[in-house]
Amino acid sequence: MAKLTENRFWRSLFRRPLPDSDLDRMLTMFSNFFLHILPAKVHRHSLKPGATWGLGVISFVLFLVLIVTGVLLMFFYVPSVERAYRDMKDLKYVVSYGVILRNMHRWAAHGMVAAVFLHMVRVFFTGSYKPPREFNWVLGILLWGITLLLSFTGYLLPWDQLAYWAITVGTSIASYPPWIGEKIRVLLLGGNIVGESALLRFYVLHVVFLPMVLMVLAAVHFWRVRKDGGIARPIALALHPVAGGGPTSAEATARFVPGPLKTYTLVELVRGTSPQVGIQAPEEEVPSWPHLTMRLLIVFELVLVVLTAVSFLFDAPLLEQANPVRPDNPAKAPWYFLGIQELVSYSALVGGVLVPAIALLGLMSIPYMDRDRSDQGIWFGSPAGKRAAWISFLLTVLVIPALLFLDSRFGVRQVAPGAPQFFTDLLNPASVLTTLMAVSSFLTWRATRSRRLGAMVLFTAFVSAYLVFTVIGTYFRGPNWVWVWPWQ
Amino acid sequence: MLRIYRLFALMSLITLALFLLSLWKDSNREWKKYQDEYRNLLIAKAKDADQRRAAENVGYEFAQVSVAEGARVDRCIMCHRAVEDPRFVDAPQPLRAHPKIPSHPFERFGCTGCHGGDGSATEVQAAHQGIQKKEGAVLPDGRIVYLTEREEPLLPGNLVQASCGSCHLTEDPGKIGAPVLSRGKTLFQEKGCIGCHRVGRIGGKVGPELTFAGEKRSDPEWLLKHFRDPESLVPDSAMPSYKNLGEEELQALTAFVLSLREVPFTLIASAPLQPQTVVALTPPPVPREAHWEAPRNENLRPNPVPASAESVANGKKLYGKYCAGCHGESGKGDGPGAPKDLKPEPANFADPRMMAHEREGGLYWKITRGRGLMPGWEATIPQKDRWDLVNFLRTLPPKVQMPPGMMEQPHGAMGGEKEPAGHMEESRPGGH
Repeated sequence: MAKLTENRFWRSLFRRPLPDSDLDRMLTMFSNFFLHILPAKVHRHSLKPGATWGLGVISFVLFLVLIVTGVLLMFFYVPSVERAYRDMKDLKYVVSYGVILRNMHRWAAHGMVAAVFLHMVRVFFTGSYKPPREFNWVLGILLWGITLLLSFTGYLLPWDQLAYWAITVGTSIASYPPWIGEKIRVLLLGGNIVGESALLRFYVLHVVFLPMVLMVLAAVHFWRVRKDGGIARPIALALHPVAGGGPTSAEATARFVPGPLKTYTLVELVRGTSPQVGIQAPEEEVPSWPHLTMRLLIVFELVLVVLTAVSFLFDAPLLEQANPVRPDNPAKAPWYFLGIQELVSYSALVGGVLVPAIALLGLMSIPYMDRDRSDQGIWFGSPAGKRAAWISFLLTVLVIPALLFLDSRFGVRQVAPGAPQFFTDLLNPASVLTTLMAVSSFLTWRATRSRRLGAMVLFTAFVSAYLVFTVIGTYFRGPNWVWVWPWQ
Repeated sequence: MLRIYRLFALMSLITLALFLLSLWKDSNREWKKYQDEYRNLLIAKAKDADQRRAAENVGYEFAQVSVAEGARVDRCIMCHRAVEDPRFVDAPQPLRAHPKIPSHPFERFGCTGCHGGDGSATEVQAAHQGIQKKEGAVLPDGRIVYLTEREEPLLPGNLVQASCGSCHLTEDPGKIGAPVLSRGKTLFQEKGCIGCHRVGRIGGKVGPELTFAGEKRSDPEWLLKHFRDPESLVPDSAMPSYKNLGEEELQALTAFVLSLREVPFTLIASAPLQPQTVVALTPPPVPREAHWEAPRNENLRPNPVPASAESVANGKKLYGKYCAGCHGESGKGDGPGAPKDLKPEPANFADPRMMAHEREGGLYWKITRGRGLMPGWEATIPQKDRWDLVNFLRTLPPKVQMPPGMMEQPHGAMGGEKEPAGHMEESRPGGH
C-alpha cells in the first residue's frame, strides 16, 4: 500500500494523502476538482432528509444514469426510418444487456421528469425561492422545460406506434399558437408529417443539443445554490440549534472549526479576509466529508437499486412498427403532456397556448412577487400556509370534476352547438378554472395581506390541476377522447 | 464507526447483488434451453465416438438468416437448430427438420417469408404470437369497444399456403402444391364474396375492399372468428355469418384472404430469383398509354375531407368551372374544350370500371399534377377544394353491382399499382 501511494506519480495524481482529520478532509474537499462543487462544511439542517427529500440529487443522479445508458444505446441505434425499429428489436433480442439498458434509460427518463417536478414542488413549499434565489427558481423552471423536451424528443426514437402517434399528437399541440404555431411544428418535424427528417431532428436534439443546454443550465443552477449559501434553511436557525435529524450529537461535538490557514482578500469584491457565502453559522456546521458525501453516495445507490429493480420487473413498451396510415385510437401524447392534451380537448387555443403560457409565466414570476424571507426553509411557512395549501388542493380536486360535469351538460357545445369557436374558447373548463385560480389567489392575498399565502393557493392549485388533468388524460379518456372508466 | 458508513456498506451490497443479478438475467436467455436440447439429441443420435465427441463440443451459437440484403433477419434457427438436418425428421419441435421445398432454399428465403411471425425475436412468445394490439372505437350509439388483434403472428398448419399465393399471383394454387389456398380461392368465387367486396378492379362496394386484406389483417385467428361471427369483431357489420361452413372451408377461405397482400419488400427472397418467380411478379399486361397511375404512396393517401353534401356541391361548382370544358358536363370525357383527337383522351368519369379502379388519393394527385395537355391545378385550386372535387368525381359513375364470378385474376389490378420492390420501403404514405 505504501509502495503504491508513496511515489511521484501518485502524489501528482492526488495532491493530498487520504485525510485522517476533519481539517484534512475539508482541505481535500476544497482542493479536489470533483468535490469542490460541495462546500467544505455543511449546515446540519441541510442534511435532514425531510429538508429536501434529496429530490435535486435524485434528478441529477437520474441524469447521470441517462447519459451513461444513453451513450451505450447510441452504439446500437441508427436514427433512420428503415433501421430505428429494427434496432429496438435487436436491443431486445440480440444485444447483450440491451433489454436492461433500454429499460433503465426509459424508466430513468420518466423518473427524472417526475423528480424534477417534485423538486420544484419541494422548493416552493419550503419557500426556497426567496431572495437572493429568485433567478435560480427561474433557472429551475427552464430546467424542467428542458427535461420535458429531452423526454419528448426521446419518445419518438423507438419508431413504434406509441412513439409515432404520441409525437404526432404532441407536435400538433405545438402548432396551436396563432401565426407561428404551424411554423414551429414544421421546424420541429422538418416537414408536415412525422417522417425521416423528424426522426433525425429529434435524435440530434435528444443526444446533443438538449443535453448540452441542460448541462450548462444545471451548472449555473448548482453554482448559484453554492453561492447563495447552500440549501435554503430557516433564518431562525442561525440563533437556535437544530432539533433532531442530521448527525448525532456525539458526531457533532467531535467537529472541529478551523481558522483560515492563509488569509487573503479579494480587494473591492469581497469584504473581510475570506470570501463567504450566505448566512454564516459555523456553530451548526459539520464537515461535508463524510456527512454529506456519504449521504450523496447512499442516495446515488438508492436510485440505482430502485431503477434496476424496476427495470427487472417492467419492460419498456414497444408496440408494432410505426404505421402512418393507421392511427391509434386514442392517440395519446406522453403522460406529462396528457394534462395539456386534456385541456386542448376543450379548446385548442386556451388549453394548448394560453393556459400553459400563463402557467409558465406565473411560475417564473412567483419569487419576484413573494419576497418576504421570514419563513424560508420552513415547510408551508406556517400553519396557516399548510391550511391554505390543503384547502386549495381539495378545492381543485373537487372543482375540476364538477366543471367537467357542467361542461358535458351545459357547456357551450351542448347549449349552442352552432356557436362560433370564440365562445368555446371563452367559456370552457380550462378558462373557467384558470380564472377561479387567479381570483381565489388574489382574494387570499387581499384578505390575509400575505403574498406568501396568495402564492401558496395559486401554486397548490396549479400542481393539483396538473396532476388531476394528467390522471384524467391517462386513465379516463378512451377512443375519440370520450370519457371512459379506467377498468373499461 | 459512523452509522452512515454501515448504511453505505449495506446499500453497496444490495447494488452489487442487483448488478450480478442483471448479469445472470441477461445470460439466461430462452433460446439456450433449446440449444441444450439440440446438443443432447445430437449426442443421443451419435453413431460413433467421433460423432459423439463432435456433438459434445457443440456450443451456444447466435444464428440468423439475412434476407433481401439484410432488410429482414430470421432468427428462428436459434431454436430450430435442425431445420436442414435430415436426421431430425422425426424429432419433436422445435428440433424437427423442415421438408425441402423445391427452389426455395432457406439461405435465400429465410423462414418468416412463408411462415409469418416475428423473425427478429429470439423468444418463443414474441416470435410466434406477434404483437398484440388493441384498438378502441366509439359506436354510433355511444358504446365503446376495444378490438384486439395480433400483428404478424405465425401462420399455423396449412394456412402457411397463403404465403404461396402472395407471390405466385398468376399461377393456379392447386398446381403449385397449395391445395388449401386453391380451395379457398374457389370458395371465395362460389360463395359470391365478390358481390360485396372488391378485389383488384372487380367487385361490389357494400363491404370493404379486400385487395390488400391480408396486409391489413394478418391475424388468422381474427379472420376465422370474423367469418363465424363478424359482429363480434366489427360492430354493426353487415356481413352475414359463415359459421355454417365447415372448419376446413373456413380455414381455406382464411388462407385465401391472407394471401391478398402486396409482397412486402422484406419478404422477397434474396437475389437471384428463380425465373418462374420473376414471371409471377411481372405485372399482367396493362395498356400503358391508356392507364395513368399515381405513385403508390399518393394512391394510398386518405381523403381528409368527408364526402358531405357541401363538399360534393362545392366540388360540382369547381368541376363546372375548371374541368367540364374537356371532361364534359356529365363527366364522360366529351367536353368541347379538348382537341379532337387528343391522346390520351380526357378521362371518362362515368365509366364505373375505370372509377372503381381509381383511389381517391390517386385522383387527388392527378388533379394536383396534371399530365400532357391536362394542367396541374396545385397553384389554382386550394387543397381542400381539390378534395371536394375528388368527392364530386366519386358521384359521377352510375352505381352498378358486378355479377359474381367475374374474378378471373384477383390480383389483376395490383400489377399496375406496383412499384419496383426497392421503392416500397421509401414510399411512406402521409396525409393524416
